[in-house]
Amino acid sequence: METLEIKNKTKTKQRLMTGAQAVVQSLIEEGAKLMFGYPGGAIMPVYDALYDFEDKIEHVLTRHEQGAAHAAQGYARATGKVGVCMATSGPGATNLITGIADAQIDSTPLVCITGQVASHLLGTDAFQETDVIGISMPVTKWNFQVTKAEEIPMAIAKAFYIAKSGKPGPVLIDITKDAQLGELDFDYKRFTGMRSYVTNPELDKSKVEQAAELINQAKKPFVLFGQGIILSEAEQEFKAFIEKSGIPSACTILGLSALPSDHYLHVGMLGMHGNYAPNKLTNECDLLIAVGMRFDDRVTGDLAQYAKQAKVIHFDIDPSEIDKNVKTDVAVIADAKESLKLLTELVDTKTYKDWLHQFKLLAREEYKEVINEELNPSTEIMSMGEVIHQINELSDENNIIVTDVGQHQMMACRYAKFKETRSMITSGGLGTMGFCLPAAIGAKMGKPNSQVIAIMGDGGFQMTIQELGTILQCKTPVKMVVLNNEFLGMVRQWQELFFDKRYASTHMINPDFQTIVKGYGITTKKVNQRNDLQGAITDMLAHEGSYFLEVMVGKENNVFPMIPTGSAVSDIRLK
Amino acid sequence: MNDKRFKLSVFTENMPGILNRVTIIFTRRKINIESLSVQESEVKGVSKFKIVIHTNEAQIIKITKQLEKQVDVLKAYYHSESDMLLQDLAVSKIAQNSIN
Repeated sequence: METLEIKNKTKTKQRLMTGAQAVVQSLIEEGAKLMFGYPGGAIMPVYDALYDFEDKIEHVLTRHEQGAAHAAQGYARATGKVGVCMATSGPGATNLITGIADAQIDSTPLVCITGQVASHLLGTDAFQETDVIGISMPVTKWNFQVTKAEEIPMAIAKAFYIAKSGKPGPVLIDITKDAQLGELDFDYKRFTGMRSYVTNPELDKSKVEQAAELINQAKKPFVLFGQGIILSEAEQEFKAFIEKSGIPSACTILGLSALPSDHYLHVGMLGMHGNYAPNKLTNECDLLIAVGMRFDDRVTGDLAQYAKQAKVIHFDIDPSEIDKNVKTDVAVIADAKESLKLLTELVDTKTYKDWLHQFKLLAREEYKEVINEELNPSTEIMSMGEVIHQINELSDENNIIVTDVGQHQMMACRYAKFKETRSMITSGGLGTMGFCLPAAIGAKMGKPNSQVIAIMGDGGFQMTIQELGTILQCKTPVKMVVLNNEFLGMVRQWQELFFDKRYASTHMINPDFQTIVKGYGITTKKVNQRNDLQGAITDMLAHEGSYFLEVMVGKENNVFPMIPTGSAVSDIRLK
Repeated sequence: MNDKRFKLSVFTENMPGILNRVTIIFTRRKINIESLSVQESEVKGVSKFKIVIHTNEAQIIKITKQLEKQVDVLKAYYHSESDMLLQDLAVSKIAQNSIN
């Protein structure tokens, strides 16, 4: 009896801790091993607590809070785990917002922790006070302000649960300084659910039966797949479904790598700069089967002229996506892993030889008109496509490609080859320039055995160029490729095509990137002519540490094919 | 414009910030809230919002789904003006009968 009492006392004593310690302990309880952040006044107690747990949870000091958010995104996208980032109040918190908004629109699970002024100062315009709960509300899946130490374990448990479950997204927990300094009796329980939030809607089997019936009757069915396949870890189930049903399948930008690029039923990428065949034939199929995608306007072009001839089946976990942009005939609201499994059982084994041949004919036309010249230019001027092509040729299959936003992004999406799932990380929905460099750092830290190649333009690289400092400090062996055209290329392309070549504020006078990168102790190489390209890429891939490769590409090259804004998908232009 | 008057009934957890989360859905789409009232529902801890807006049928369906998508929203319903009138009439008839 006496012994038991002593034991209990010891246990109770061990649990007594500060709010700041509880933050760190809660992150450890959730399995977080890595986090990205930047310290400041209102979050200092948590940083002080982290100092005692350096062996259990590694904190990566980025050079800007936006970098911390994007790095957490890169980590989450590469690993499938929740990314964690942390910042102080006021400017620290507002600097996270771009990354949070990016994670919200691309369904990336993040837990963001911000410091806040002491609770008695809330609403007084105190030093570095900003209403981050109000500011982040439109771009978070959920957020919560903690003002008492004892609320911390529950708030963080709930944050991880909400971020990861259902359709994933970013969650922000704002913790006042007095809550960090206060004491609590720590008792951690994983969060298991709440009455107002359905994470995984129950599968309505009759809907899957209706879908299977439409699929079995279709003459020209066409599958569109998105990131939902990756998020629900349904890659195998998806492959089994298309292989049994024999249906040609095209991906969205975020669906890239869910199915290997060279799969015989993979007919390319949809959208504004996607492939010719899938865009054209969207308006010729008799049945569209959308799986884990949300009919973004960059995919659909003019909705009034989008697949009007076809019936539509939509598989999605989020009920609000159904009929949001495209009216569906059958909606299956469930986790794709579960619904695809049942669907595969119900569909007939088929092949669509003639229908697939139509895709091949158009693919050949695209190759002749666009791809051949892009990958094998007839001029001395180097193209972005040929750089990507050389990277494909020279690297092994264990690559993760991370891109920034713009022309180089579209080129990477079009020409990079993917084998493994989660091997493409790009800012799809928000189109955030500056995403790439920090996201690549996060991806490399999450997947240290993968070759992580960051592909950027000269514009986007300079938006988060400060993260070279993170690479220097952490010795992160990221391979960086800047495709330098001395222009904000995508905007310039639009100025050329739609604004009478009035190049307003798109020409860039750049610094000597070689000198800058050398200053960070990173091996660099600049390629001005084609003869040096192959050797430089080989060197970069073989190099053990981080490597910076700058390739001077054509200043006024364009990305084609292209669906002009407001046009039908079938009006996609080859030139 | 084919805008009509709609009433929304939204049931949420009673917690700080929920009013903001609900109104953001309308602000983002530049929809003016004609009237709004919030009170505790029959269930303790559950708030009931009554919101009146002008919009079209397609939009109100999407808005209702967006409201339900919020983590702390339990349920959202919309009613068109004809539904609302019908309810009013039913109530007043009973009142007259009881007087006679």
